[in-house]
Amino acid sequence: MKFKRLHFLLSAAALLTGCSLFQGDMGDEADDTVEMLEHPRRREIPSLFGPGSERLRGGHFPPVKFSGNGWQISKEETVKLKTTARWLKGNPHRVLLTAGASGSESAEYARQLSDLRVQSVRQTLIGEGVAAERILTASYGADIPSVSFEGVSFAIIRTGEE
Amino acid sequence: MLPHVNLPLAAAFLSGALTCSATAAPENAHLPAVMEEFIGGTGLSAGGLVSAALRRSGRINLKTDPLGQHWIIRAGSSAGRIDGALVSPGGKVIFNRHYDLSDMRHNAHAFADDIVEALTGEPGIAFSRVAFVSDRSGSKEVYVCDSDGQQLMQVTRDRGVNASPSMGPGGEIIAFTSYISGFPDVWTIDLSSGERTRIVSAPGTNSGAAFSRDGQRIVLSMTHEGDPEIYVTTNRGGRSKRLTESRSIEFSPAWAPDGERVVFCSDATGSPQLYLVPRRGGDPERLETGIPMCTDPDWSPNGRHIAFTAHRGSERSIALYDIETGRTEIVVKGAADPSWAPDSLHLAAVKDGDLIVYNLHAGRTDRLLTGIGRISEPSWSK
Repeated sequence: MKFKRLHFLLSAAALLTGCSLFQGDMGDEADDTVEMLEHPRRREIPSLFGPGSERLRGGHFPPVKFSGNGWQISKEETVKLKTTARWLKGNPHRVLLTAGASGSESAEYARQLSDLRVQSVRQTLIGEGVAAERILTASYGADIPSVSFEGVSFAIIRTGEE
Repeated sequence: MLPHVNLPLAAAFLSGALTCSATAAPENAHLPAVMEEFIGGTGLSAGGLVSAALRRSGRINLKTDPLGQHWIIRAGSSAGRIDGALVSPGGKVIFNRHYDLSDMRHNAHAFADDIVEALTGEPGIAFSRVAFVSDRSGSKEVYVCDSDGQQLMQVTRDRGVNASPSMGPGGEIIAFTSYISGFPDVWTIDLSSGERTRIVSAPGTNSGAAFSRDGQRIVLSMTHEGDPEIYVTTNRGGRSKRLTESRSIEFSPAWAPDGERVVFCSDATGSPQLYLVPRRGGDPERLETGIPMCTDPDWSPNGRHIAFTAHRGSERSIALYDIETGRTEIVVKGAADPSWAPDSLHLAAVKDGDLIVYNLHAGRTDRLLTGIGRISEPSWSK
């Protein structure tokens, strides 16, 4: 009986040691995972370009332009946005903001710069009273030549879920 | 898998059959070696492939004259399989291996890489691959080719935009940005199975993914917290840790070879510059390159250099930042988007829309792929 108990204790100790060693081996990875937080996932909507989505009006509003590598909205462009926001508040459809940026420095820089630009426009519209959930954004850097100019353009859209 | 045995060859190699140690010669030495004529049915073709791969390595001096002290490369090939050996000037068999991969190119490249590693202590590049983006089909798709430009393969067929590929370890998996959903998300694709997985789809822009050397982690830019910041996630995505926090644009991260630090670009000073940050986050440290604008950094596998695109006005060049001395040197003018080969000797880059390879020691640039659309954003498997 004593032998069985000793055997059990030794087995348990070995198991614990093994677990500890295992954790030691994986400690680096485990620490990383602990430090990582779940990031949000984009709310899935039907593809903006696929079936069920309809681009009702493009070019209805003047695009917001930026100079150089800037993403701050100038006073002149803010006036344009106030007009756009007034129309949007009286209209049920969603608006898709697409942003571009020149890729002369680097393709990756252009992607991130265009995202900042589109977020600047989105925040301005929200500040003017447009409901956040009605504003969709997509930034393309210099990847899609047709939308990759130095600014943010608008399209009134109806997605399949409306 | 049981090795195929070529009896005459096996007999010839018998004395060294159990020897499998590598003797590292002085680094970067151009070591004289003589390649004997390969025996066997596919010996001639296999020999040609091995010879070409060794010359491309930039590290082996293949002699045709068998006089003097030299290493001997001896092999036989039958049905594409290769039995290959490396013999020292003193007659010692350094290794004697059987190569039985799916085709003769693979066998020849594996043999060539083993020779390079045994003689220099550095990995070879024959078996490595390069991923890149091309608009050849009319849309931006990811392609991959072998390090010699052969075996070109189109990886994505989205008829849309794919960008910023990063080759995972071994060249078997690629992380890349795809707009297939209408938004920039990070996907991985397994080149063997074709299985494609969306790993990061946070709101905003998710791009610039780079695999760590062990393939377990990915560093990338994400904008879901307001502006572009650098994050580390796992190769399955879902969870991430933010490494930077600023009001500027942080982009194009790349790992240090030991995985402890990340180099990235930030325009915090108004124009993109290079910074280092520990992989668990912390205060970024700016690298003083003396270049007005720096983008697209990639850290050499031996840890000694960071290659990047240097911008002076409208001119773009490939520059190297020496980690030890802090000096920056322009090495290729008119080129951009550098990516290190596993040997830390070669760089892939783009010039005039072509894929080029630069040999650091020879100072020579060769065009690897030309005339297949406009190529951008190459990534060499490490």
